[in-house]
Amino acid sequence: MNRRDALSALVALPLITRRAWAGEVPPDRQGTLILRSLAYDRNLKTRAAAAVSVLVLFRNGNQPSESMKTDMVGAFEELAKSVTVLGRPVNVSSHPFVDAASFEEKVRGVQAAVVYVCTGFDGSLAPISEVTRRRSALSVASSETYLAGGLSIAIVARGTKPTIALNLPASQAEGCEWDPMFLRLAEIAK
Amino acid sequence: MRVIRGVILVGCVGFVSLANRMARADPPNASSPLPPSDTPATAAPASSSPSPAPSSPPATTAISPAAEPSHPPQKNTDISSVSLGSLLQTDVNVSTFGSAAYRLPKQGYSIYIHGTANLGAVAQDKADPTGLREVGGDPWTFVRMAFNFFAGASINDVVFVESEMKAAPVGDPDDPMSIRYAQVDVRIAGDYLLARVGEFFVPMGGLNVYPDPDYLHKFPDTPLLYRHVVPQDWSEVGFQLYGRVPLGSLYGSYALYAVNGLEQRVEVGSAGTPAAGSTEGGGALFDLAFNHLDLNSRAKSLGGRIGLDSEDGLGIGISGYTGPYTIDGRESLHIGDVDLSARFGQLSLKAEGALTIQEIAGGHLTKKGFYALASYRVCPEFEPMLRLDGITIGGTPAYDRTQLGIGAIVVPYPEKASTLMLKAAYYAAWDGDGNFATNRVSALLAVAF
Repeated sequence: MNRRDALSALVALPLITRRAWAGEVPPDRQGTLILRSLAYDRNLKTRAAAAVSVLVLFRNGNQPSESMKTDMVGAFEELAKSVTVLGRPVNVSSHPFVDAASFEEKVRGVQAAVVYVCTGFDGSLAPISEVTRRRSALSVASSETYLAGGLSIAIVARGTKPTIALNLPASQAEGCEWDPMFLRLAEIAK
Repeated sequence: MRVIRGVILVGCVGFVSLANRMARADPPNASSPLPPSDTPATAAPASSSPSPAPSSPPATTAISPAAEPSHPPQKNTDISSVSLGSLLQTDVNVSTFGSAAYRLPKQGYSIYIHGTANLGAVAQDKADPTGLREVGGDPWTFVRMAFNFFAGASINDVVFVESEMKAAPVGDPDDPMSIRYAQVDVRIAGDYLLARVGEFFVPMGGLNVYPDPDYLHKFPDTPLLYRHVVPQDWSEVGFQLYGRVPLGSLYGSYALYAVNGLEQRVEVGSAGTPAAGSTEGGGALFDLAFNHLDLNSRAKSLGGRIGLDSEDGLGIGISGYTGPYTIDGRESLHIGDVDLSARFGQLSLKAEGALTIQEIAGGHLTKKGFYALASYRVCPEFEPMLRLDGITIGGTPAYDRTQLGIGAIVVPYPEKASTLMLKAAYYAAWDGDGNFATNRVSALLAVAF
């Protein structure tokens, strides 16, 4: 490859990536939207402890899931350095899903207000949502298919704009009471 | 990276908040570029100001006064002071730098870039015969022995792509970086069988099997056999099958390959025909490599290596290569190599011997070389070493060398920067007739990153 080919490839790469990845929101934007959404939950103060604890759930041995965990934990940690949610600092932790019992123990231990579910859980969301509902932790993902699986919020892209897709019954089952303004801005999943 | 990400993030939050503040500065009925106020009563920070319920009409007021931050949002910004509507109206710019680094891993692409640098100085009291060494040292010179970049990707642990770009000591000033290898590996059957295509380091001996022999070899200069008996940093374009098999507590490894092979460049005379003697063979090994395209002969070269290794550092390998190297394919070149390594606590031993039979018109040249190296890591910061190496180039005692080297590796930060090392050595060399030839010193600062 000569220099001209290399430059052509570099120029073309953003176009390719824009087309190929048009449905996703970068982790830092996801993190900002998730924390901002939390502030609309009128029950957050009762669900969260002195700090707003975000737990990133991933699947061990699943490379895409582990990569997503790394990115989301990094994004939340950066956010935690500069922002608070309703005056509360943000704590971040991660957990590899093995079984519902150990997951619930982790949620309880860190007093998670939010559980971010990474990719890699297609078809196996039921035990996760059972725990998040029992422990009143808001479940969030980056795929709308996870809403159908019982999770509450998905941060997705519509064209070039980010969108908050909301599974309202699921989020209510997880103890959230949304401000009407949030319900106007979010896209309620049917 | 995290710092940059943090700066961008704080900047992003700050920008949106600033936009909110500017919007709020508009007259109450002025049209705002931002969405209607979306801050709920409960979203206000635990501040002294009460927060009336949002009642502003859509598309007229940016945000309720209750949400206005009391100071510019930088550190410790409460997220509730940021307009969610604004966040949702901001484009997701998927083509920004870094987005691919996030998105590709989700598809199982693990991408990396790293490098090595070997920079220092070489000095020698007398000049060697032309071409004996890549860096002569007389007069003494600073040297960029190698500055290499490696870029690659692992795709779901099935496909592996990697390339090395190298800035060599002597390079084309207009294009100082050259590709040393550019290969694609495909896992076919676990670790047992992988296929490799492209340009790859020829698995010959105990050093050329790894990326960047200059960095990995303990001494600042690689042994002379890696120039005159086996080409230095030898890569070829072709196809390879390789793998690794557990054998009890040991591992067996193998590699078989077919490549374009070494080829002696043809000097073209004024009439456009090969210059006299240039097709007869016998060229120096280091000049025969990097034959990326077979333009003269369709014959390919074949080779392989088998090895046996243990977890505790014992290793033995046998390598072989054969193929034509003159443009008419009449003369061939055959290389055999045996390498050994062992580790006993802090003591490391390495040895290698190579034999090249190079056919020429009416006969052949026999080129032999060896090295034996011992090093002892006294402490994490210091490793003295000793090396004996030599070459015998058929019929030219002036080029033959036996060389004794003594040196040390200093690792100044074994915990904080374990890949940073200063390698220094002194060599005394004798020619093929037993006459003392040269004193040579070299020192390199080497680092992998």
